Amino acid sequence: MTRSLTEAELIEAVQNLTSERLSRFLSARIVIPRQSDKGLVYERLDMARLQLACELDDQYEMEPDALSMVLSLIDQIHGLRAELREVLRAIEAQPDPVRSQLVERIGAARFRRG
Amino acid sequence: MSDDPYSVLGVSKDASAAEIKKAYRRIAKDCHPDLKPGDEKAEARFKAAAAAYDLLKDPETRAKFDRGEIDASGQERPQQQYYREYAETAGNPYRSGGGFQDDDMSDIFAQFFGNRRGGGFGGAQAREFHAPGHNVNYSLQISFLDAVFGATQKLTLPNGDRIEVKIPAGITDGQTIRLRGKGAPGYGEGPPGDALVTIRVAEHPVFKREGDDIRITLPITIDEAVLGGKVPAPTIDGRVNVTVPEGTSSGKTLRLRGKGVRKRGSDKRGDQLIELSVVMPDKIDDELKQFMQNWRKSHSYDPRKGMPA
Repeated sequence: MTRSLTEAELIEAVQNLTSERLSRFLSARIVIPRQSDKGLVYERLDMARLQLACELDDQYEMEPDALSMVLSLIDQIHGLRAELREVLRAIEAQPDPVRSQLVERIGAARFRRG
Repeated sequence: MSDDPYSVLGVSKDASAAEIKKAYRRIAKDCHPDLKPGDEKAEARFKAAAAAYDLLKDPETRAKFDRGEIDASGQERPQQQYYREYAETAGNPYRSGGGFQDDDMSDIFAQFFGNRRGGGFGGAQAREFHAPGHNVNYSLQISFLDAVFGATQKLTLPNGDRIEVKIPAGITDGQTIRLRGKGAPGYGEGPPGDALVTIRVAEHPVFKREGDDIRITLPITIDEAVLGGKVPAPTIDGRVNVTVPEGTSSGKTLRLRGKGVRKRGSDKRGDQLIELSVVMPDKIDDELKQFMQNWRKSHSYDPRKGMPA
């Protein structure tokens, strides 16, 4: 696992992140730093998440709470995609007759109207 | 990217800054890789639009480009790490559904594993299920000065364990701290979840936070306001004497540099702002009244000059 970042390293690493902006994002729980022996630290994931938050903030000038909501929706989509992938992998591992039955059922469900 | 940033954004050469921004926003909404995961065409389009926007958003670089002094190459943003590269990983702590609990995992899985745990599929398979424990939220109220200077507070967990929460100097109301592994136990061989401690900062009767600055209102007497002088004022580091200039009106604000809250990721501190407020004596005695009556006769002035009648 890669090293965690301190607050100073984080502000340096994320484009357009300032001390004031980080404070606002933290108050809206956009990221949640981890307590460690070195004080609060941030992971690479937090860094990528803050980069996205800064971009959305620059593009749409959102309230921090609105931004937090948008990120939570993005998380849900990513979560669902990961879960769906797990299901598909499980289907993939099934014997042929089961697979074709599942494909048929899912296909029928997708194209059913009303 | 294409050589022409205007055509990448789909705007004309004489487009206004607002039109350029609008065009970029539209493409970002449709094509940002974190909003459209898995769509490579969209990603390529977003990257081109971001580079074009970076070139055109600054009037100076735009003018240089228009005069042919720079071209559109070399404008690509440095390779950045997109959130989606992390977002789907099992270890993403922001993903709901990370913990196996009926009410915080996605409905679909909760239903599926819920059925398995019940009757039907039998207990043996349910025991093979491994997942991280869910995160547990706590709230911790701290004093204004603990938030300014930092502190260590104890938090008692439902199981009786006491954990230390180290509050860094300058924390703001609503910030949350993650204590790894202090949440609910994992399922099967899954790791425990995290404790998420949200800090609530109590108000202070004198000091108010404005970002990294601290603001106070300091009452002064009429003689201090007229004559000026040194007046004691509270700061978060203790009492200091500030100089009130001669002839100070209410609302005048003094700034004490470096007497505010520590800035994040830095050793610098914000300022303390002192708004002066002239306060009359409890009782207007005859001497003051007579003096003012005499003074008014020969020293009238109009502080409302220029206001509409």
